[in-house]
Amino acid sequence: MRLSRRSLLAGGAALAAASLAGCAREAGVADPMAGRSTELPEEPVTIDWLSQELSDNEGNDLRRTLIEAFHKRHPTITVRLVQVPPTTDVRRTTLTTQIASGAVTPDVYLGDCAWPAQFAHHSLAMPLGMLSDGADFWSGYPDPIVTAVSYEDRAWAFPMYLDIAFLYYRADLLHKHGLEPPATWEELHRTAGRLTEAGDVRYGFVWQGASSETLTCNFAEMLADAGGALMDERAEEVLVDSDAGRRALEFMSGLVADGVSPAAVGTFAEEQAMTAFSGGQSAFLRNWSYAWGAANAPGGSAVAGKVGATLRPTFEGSGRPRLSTLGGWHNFVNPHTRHLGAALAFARWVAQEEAQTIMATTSPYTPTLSSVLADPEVVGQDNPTFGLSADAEFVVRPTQSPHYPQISKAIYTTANPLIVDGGGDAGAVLSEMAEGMRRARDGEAL
Amino acid sequence: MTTGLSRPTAPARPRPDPGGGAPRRGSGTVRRDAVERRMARTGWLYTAPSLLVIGGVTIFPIVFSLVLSFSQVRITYDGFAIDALTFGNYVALLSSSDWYYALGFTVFYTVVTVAVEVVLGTMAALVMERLGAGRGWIMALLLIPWSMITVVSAQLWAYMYNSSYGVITWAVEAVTGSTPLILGQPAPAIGAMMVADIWKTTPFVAIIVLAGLVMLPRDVYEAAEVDGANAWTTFWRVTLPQLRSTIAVAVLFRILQAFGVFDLPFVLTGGGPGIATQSLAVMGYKVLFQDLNIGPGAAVATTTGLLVAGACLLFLKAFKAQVGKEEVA
Amino acid sequence: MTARGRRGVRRVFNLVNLGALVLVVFTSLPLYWLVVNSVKPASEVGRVPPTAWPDEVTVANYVDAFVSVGFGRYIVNSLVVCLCATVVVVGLATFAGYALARTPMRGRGPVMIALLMISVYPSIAVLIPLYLMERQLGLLNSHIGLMVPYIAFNLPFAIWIMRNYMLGVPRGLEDAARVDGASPTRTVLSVILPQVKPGLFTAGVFTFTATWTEFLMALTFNSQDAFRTIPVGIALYGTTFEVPYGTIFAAAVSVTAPIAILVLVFRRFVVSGLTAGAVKG
Repeated sequence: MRLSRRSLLAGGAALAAASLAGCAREAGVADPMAGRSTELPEEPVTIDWLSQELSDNEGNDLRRTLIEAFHKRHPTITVRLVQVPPTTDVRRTTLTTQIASGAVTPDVYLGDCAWPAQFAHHSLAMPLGMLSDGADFWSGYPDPIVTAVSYEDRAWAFPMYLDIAFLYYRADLLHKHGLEPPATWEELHRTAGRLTEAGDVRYGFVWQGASSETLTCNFAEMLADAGGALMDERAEEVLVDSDAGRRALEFMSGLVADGVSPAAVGTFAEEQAMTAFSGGQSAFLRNWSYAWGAANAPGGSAVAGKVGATLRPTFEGSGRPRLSTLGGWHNFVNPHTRHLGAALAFARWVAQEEAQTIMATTSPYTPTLSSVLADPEVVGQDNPTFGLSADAEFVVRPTQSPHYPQISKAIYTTANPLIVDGGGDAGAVLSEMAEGMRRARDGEAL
Repeated sequence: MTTGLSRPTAPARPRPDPGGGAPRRGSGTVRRDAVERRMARTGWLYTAPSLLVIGGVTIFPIVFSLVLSFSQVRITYDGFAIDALTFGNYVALLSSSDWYYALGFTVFYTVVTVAVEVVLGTMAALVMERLGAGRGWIMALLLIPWSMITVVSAQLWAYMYNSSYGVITWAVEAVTGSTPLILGQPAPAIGAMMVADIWKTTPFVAIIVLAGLVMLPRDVYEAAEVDGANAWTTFWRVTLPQLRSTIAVAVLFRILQAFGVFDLPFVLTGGGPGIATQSLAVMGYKVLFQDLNIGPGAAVATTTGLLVAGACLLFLKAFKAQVGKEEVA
Repeated sequence: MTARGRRGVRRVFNLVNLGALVLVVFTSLPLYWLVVNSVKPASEVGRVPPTAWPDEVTVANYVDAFVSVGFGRYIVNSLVVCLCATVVVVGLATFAGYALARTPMRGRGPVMIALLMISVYPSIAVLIPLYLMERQLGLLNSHIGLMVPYIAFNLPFAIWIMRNYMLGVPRGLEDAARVDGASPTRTVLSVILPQVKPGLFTAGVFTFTATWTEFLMALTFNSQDAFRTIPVGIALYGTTFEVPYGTIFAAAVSVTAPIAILVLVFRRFVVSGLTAGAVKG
């Protein structure tokens, strides 16, 4: 006992000394790739892949299917799964703790598409080379995805799957009243009103207005529908305080004020909105790709088989239809991995045709590779979201800023009360929002 | 084993001798000093293993975090790099309105929940003490919420408060006729979080107080009975004064836990709506692990630690006589 | 005592019974809701108005909880880590508590304060340095890697509790033992210990509960499935956008029910553990 305690103390002291010594070192941003072999290993190696659970259409583990297929291609590389809770923040915590401390595993980790700039800025991801080097490789993906995984002209993650927002609707109710799925928000407002007045549903339209990242996504879309943007493409200039911003915000709070959406949307994240819709309470739902499966799950949904999906409507007179926030999950490589070659090979393979096709044909996850997304076999599946995905236009959140989490917080904390209250001074909210975003962008927010 | 038999009858509970130590036999002789020295050595011998374990595990992390709080720090591929030592993190903190809100919220939350829990917990303990056969059942029941994993109990409450299908939302709607947004608006969200905390933690206080209650010597009650005191008077004049040191410990540790509250708001509200239920610990977590703002995050944690410690010391000072004289010496 | 007993007989609907009733109802209602929703099918979990009893009782959530995640192993891990940590904490705290309550060692005040300061430091802030330490010492992904910080962070509270109970033990007992020639350790073990059984029990239950529910360290230090504990295991359910309440509740019932049943079966022991020395039982 005594010995081990002493060694604990000694270890603690040594670590303190080492970390303080480390402070003195000149800290240039060295390229962690420099001087390291990216060759495939000849000896058998095992790498760890950290990922949340991904189920395929049969309820089996998609990750294991992918790992087996990869192992057939590269018999020397064994991939081991490290499972994490699905919450984005919880995962960021474990990864930060581990990688900032120099941990060599996980070798590859599946991360949120909003992470690349932040993770690159804080040395938590391996730069995967200059984008210009792999021009052929990257040209296979839609531009917004390439932009999302890049920071300072380098790529930081290999795309895995997309989250695209759709408008889900009760096809049975529209049919009953001889109505079409709405093409504009104004039309949705009217249609929803008719269905609630007829007593067919309790709510017209549910979406996500909770004070969290999900509201930033919903607002960014509405803003783009109205022709505006949160920030410019490089996430430098704040553009939100505009006529488009006012139109978006007033429409969102108006949905609540007019009773099209319940005030409860101000507390809804994906889960609550989904439950309201699949419980048969709402005529319309804005949600991500996964919602098709959730809405049609036998036993899990009261509206299975009665649901339709379409790309999101836009505002009347707006030239920007079919918009969706760009969401999704991509594979990053741990800069401290001992098996760089193997890790790169696996993360890259998941982004390429073989894996993307397996994923697109056996699971509900939307592929990132354009050729697979347009593959007739994929498009023709029962799940209509695959066919619609290729036509979606993407709204990119200002994730190019390493301070994106604070920028987003400035957005959702100011917009949320307006939605809960079903109205208010949208102009004042927008200028407060813009001010908060500027401070966050400059790294001054705490 | 009945302590009542072996307890000295005169004072209800022997006040701890502030000097501790050996009995006052002999009169300041060499022998007494020797005994005292030997006992003091024994004391350190008994304490040493605990202190070594605690120190070995906690000193490095706490010092590390303290250093970071005074540093301009970046994460690099070689680990944490400190560019400069600075007070900037604390300056940023003291000029952040979010921090003042978190501080105010945490203090308010601590004061209200601890006060309610101590009152309810003491009442529950008194009730349980008087119950015969039912006591075991109630104890078992009380242990359930308290031993429930916080992440789960927070999910349970989130489910019950849910604004579209939550049972509490439904019940409030049935009574008042309007649909409440329990977790959607600041004041109800704070109240809702407190209720969840009180449900889970009152048993903690109840069990501590019950254990203190049953250790009270019986004879004083008998004396009170003889004096013809009624139950109410007996409670205020006899039971409560003697329970004070037990309650003080319960309060102390509840302050500690409540001030550092994290799991519950993290799961139940995520600190929201806005920052309405953002406690200091949740704020520290977000600054550290969401914004990856290491220096200011460490500063939030350090100031939180100092403030709780200060609160505890103040509390101890107020309860000086009850917890023992030395703590604040 | 006898007088109080008479009062109890006199009125059944007295304050005590009323209080007990309120206590039971307030505590049970959320628990009832937990159990009911763990046997509801997924389509009924979000129904409005909520159903007080499921139209169709199902065990699907329980099957999910046990099949999709290796739950049995997590239970074993939690038991190993928490029981070991609790035993060590109570053992160490007994002696430290005695020393701080009863011996004339100098610096008791500073030690008590230092203990307090350590236990107030927010654990989120020590997560990274602790991880660094554990990695350096090779403790990650092991039972010991969790036990060590659990012991260190729960000891201060246990020592405070034990010291407080020790203060209440009459001094005459020790003096008698010393006159009989017993060594200090023997005095603690055979004279003091039986007197502070409620304290031991309280410190033990508190330590166990604190470690049983701990999430962040368990998540960060033990990333491998073989060493996961229950709180982390439960957090693995669901996807990025979905919270499967039914499965989470089923898992919660599965880990809570055994504790409740154990306490009920051994309720005499539990009660006497808490009330050793009391005349009534």
